[in-house]
Amino acid sequence: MRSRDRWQLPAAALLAAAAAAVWWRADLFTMELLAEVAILAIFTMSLQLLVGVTGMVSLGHAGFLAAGAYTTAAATLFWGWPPAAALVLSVAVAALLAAAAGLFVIRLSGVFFIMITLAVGQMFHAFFFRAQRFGGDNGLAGTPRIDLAALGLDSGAPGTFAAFALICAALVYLLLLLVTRSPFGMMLGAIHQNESRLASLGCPVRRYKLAAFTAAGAVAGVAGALTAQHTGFISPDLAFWTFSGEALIIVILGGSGSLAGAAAGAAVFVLLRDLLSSGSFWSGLSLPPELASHWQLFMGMLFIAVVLAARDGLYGRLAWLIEALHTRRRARR
Amino acid sequence: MSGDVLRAEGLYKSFGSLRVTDGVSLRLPAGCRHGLIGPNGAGKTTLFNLIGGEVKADAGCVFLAGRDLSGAPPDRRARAGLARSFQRNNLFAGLTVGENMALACALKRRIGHVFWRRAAGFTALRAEAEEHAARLGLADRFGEQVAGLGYGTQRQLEIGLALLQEPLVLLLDEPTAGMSPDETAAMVALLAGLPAELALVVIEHDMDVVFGLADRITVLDYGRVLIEGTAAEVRRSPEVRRRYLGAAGR
Ligand SMILES: Nc1ncnc2c1ncn2[C@@H]1O[C@H](COP(=O)(O)OP(=O)(O)OP(=O)(O)O)[C@@H](O)[C@H]1O
Ligand SMILES: [Mg+2]
Repeated sequence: MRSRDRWQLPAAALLAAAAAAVWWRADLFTMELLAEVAILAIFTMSLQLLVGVTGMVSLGHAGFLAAGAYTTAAATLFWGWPPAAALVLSVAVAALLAAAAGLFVIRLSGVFFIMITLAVGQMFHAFFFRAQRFGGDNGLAGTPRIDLAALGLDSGAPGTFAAFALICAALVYLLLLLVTRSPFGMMLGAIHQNESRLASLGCPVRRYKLAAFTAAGAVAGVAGALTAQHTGFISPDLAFWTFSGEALIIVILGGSGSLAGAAAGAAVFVLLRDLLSSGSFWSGLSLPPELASHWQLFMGMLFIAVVLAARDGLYGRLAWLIEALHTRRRARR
Repeated sequence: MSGDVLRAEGLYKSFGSLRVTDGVSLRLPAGCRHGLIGPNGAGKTTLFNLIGGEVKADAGCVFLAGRDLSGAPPDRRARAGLARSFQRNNLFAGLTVGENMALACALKRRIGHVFWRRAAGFTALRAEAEEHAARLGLADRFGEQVAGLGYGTQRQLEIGLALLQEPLVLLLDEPTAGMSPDETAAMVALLAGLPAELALVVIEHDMDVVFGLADRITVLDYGRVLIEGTAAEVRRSPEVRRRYLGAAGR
């Protein structure tokens, strides 16, 4: 597991290069997908900090994403804030809410932690569902995108916004990479391994868990703000537990606490969903196009297959690939 | 009396109806070498757990260097200067020997919260971990994953982590258990070379090790202190002979 860590940066670089290459040639629709991948990657990387790094399996993480999205919507639509300032506020609000929820949830672990985070996430959903000011269950449309006119760019253009989202994802990746490789990140990894011994060595484990939970919530807030900007639309569905569950599956698929793995998982998820839910894909295989409406079933089967075939997740496979290429090139020399 | 670096007063603990610690007090002056012996199930490990805070006492208090730590969690006690090793190896099995040591070093140096700098940038951390590995005879295992190490080597690391904390009080729970004679000899030599001002308590079933190391000994039996005294006094005590030394036969 550790020796694979050295492929973390190469794997991320490979992903970034792939994203850039796709962006270079992409049509408008693909640009939308790219932006979605980038935003989902920010979300899954933030969850990876909890799940893969610290060993805190949260099933309510989407609550903080939704909090970020609603904050951006409220600040821009109700108070006329510029989207950039709203983004900062979204992060602060998500962090605060995560800290407040964290005070309670970090006292539990294992299945109890999963259950209480599920409950917290559903509380967010219930709140937004009833919030008439935000359109209740209908949600709210019209959140503006960030103003890039100062750079001579129009964020309304899919390509521009996709690039903006990808750059945000890259920055989040670098930030989280720094955190996971810092002494603090070492402690989080050790909490995952043996929490009680770490406490006996003098680590205030609860405080560190609270910090991790808050940081992950803050980054989820970034993903939320960008979601509101991207689609212009927010709804309580953003907080629903199935979204948290999807992110959790992506993180597990991504593998072994790796940030690059979580990002790769997000890309695979969005692209597969797009592929499997299009009728033309199925008719191209001479299969009934109605299968497209069952895309979740096929996605589930694929995920099971991947998890069975690659215990170490996408990152493990990616690292294996890079390692193989590396040794082959050395052998040729 | 005020010179005692650790003072545990009237500790009680029951698990259900089983009274495992029954009014135990322990005073350790700086620099003491204390042995804690008693038959299996006497409550030795539980006493460590009560002092370390891993198990909450039903009654009683613990003072460390004059500070009342009675209700404090284990991490606060550790930061106040208490370190312990565990009867069963209790390590970070997925990490390397070096990473295990770096954790203890980072916590001792109070840099565990630093999230804005790479751990690799703290060269002193690695240097100290390497130096300690050498002292423990683990230098050639530095980069190996703990899960893959033999039992004796893991045991050395178990003790090594506690030593790394540079504590005022060190509690070792059967440090040589399961070690080969060579490894035991090396451990005894290591313990003999510990800083003079450190207060050391060792739970040990190997009587040669205990009597060779300790200047005072506490004998626990059914959660009570049977006798506390110098090694010679304990050795002479007919009750100890009858109840413990004779029975254990070691
Ligand atoms: N968490 C617990 N729950 C219930 N009973 C416990 C617990 N911990 C210890 N005991 C019981 O308390 C008694 C004392 O246990 P303890 O581990 O302190 O003994 P010990 O003196 O260290 O013995 P040994 O020499 O075998 O290590 C035993 O009967 C044990 O079964
Ligand atoms: Mg014991």
